[in-house]
Amino acid sequence: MQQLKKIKFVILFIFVILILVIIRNSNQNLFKQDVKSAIEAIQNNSNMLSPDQLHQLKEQWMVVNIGNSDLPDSIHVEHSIKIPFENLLDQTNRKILEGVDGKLILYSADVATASKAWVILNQMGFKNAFILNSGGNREEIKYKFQPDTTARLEQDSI
Amino acid sequence: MDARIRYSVLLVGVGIILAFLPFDAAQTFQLKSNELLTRSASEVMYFSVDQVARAVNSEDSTVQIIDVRSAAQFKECNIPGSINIPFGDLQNPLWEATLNQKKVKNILYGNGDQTASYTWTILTGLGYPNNYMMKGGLNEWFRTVMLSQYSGEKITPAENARFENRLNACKAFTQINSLPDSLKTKFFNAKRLNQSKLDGGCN
Amino acid sequence: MGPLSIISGFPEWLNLLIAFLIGIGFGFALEQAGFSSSRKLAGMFYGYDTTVLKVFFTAAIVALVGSQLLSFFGLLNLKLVYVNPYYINSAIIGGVIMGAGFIMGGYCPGTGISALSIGKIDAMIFMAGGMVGAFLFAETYPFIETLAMDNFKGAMRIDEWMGVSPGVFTLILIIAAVALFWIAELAEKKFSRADITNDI
Repeated sequence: MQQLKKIKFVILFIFVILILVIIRNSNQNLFKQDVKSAIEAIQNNSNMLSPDQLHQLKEQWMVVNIGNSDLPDSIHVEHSIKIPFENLLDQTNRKILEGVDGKLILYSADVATASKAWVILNQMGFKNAFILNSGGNREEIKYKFQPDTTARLEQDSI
Repeated sequence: MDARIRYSVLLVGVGIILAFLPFDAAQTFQLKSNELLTRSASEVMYFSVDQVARAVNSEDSTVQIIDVRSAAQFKECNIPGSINIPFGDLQNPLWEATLNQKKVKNILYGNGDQTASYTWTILTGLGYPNNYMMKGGLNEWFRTVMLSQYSGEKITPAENARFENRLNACKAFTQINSLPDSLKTKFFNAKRLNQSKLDGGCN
Repeated sequence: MGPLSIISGFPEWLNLLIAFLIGIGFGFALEQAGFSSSRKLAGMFYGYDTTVLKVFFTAAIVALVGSQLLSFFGLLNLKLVYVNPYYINSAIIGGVIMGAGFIMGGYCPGTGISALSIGKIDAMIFMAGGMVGAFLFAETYPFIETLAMDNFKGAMRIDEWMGVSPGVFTLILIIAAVALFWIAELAEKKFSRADITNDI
């Protein structure tokens, strides 16, 4: 007891820091995920699901359409909701996203929107979020560069 | 002896809190989530292919074009004046000074929109300013700039300017990328060296 | 958010002024801890006085703990803190040379300057030696460049290399420090030298 009395200010200080850490951690609006995990998932392409993979899933899923256009015909309509991208994190929509059982499948015809939404949701801790890959590899180069062997830069410009 | 015990308890106590911190703030997004969403939903981050072509032609020093594809793809062809920061290498501290800066506009591009969108969201989320992306990526660049053709009888001055801009960018692109491999490597190494000189630090 | 100079774009002279004030503070702390006496520094090597270990290790830990807490509360951006690039060969060889000079001269560069500023003659000679060494290094650099640039590891951090979080690494370091301080005190008792005093 005597010993404890001597270090009571120390214990108080540690306690204050602990409280501050807990308060900081309970802030809903902060990101708390490591960026590295998102980068790795993107590199492995493990954040993408094709419609075929989707229909083979054992667990439940829900397609969230964040684009302007409607879903392609290959997706069952009863499993989808539509939320505009800019309202994705509104209080009510956030409740809906948190309430999704199983996988949360993001879809937009414009792949950029789904990609941005995926990064945001992933970093908010939605580990069940995936992107629906509706057609082919969007990151493939469609054109082949044809070198012009007659063209030469002047040496001194290098 | 008291002071020693006090400081030891203090340091070990704070150390234990640190060891159990729920997240590593240096590796997480700095922006608030709704703020990041608002920025992602706006169109401000886009540069059109024509704007990038104009920057290439005028050797605009207020923009830095960044290729986020793999090194092999970059070597095959890239937009003149661009530097290569492969997506997987994003967290390399070497690029910190290039990506997190206030001087120039960084324009990201990949083959399509996807990788550049990921990169843009990650960089902006981390709180880095001045990041933009080229809408449509290199596919759009090829479609508009490289295969640019004009057919028709009359040409308005605006159309003429746009066409000339594309044609010049196409020429520069072809010239740079037609260099033999050895010269290309030399060229990139020289560029990389210049870049690393900008890195600074207190060496 | 810090670091200060990057966020606010201070003019050059203000940056230098801040550095100057911090430098004065550092020198003052060194002098107060008695580091402008070569006896104290050499004592670390012979084991009769381990103040150097305690002061610098404590400083490192306090900085580590403080920067991580500030980072967690969003007050300091650790990504902007410069990490020295690591060259294995030159770190080892240079470390041995510097350590030898440290024992022979009784100062490290920082304490040498703080001893110089209170007018110690041995410190003046020590600093002159340091200048000669720097000059020789610069002149012979082309010959040893391959050696100096070998085994470059980039901006490496031990916690990343060990694969633990920075917080866990800090805790390990704190425990190691407390244990080391305890051992150091034992060593001080064992190797105590009554003939060496702190009088100038």
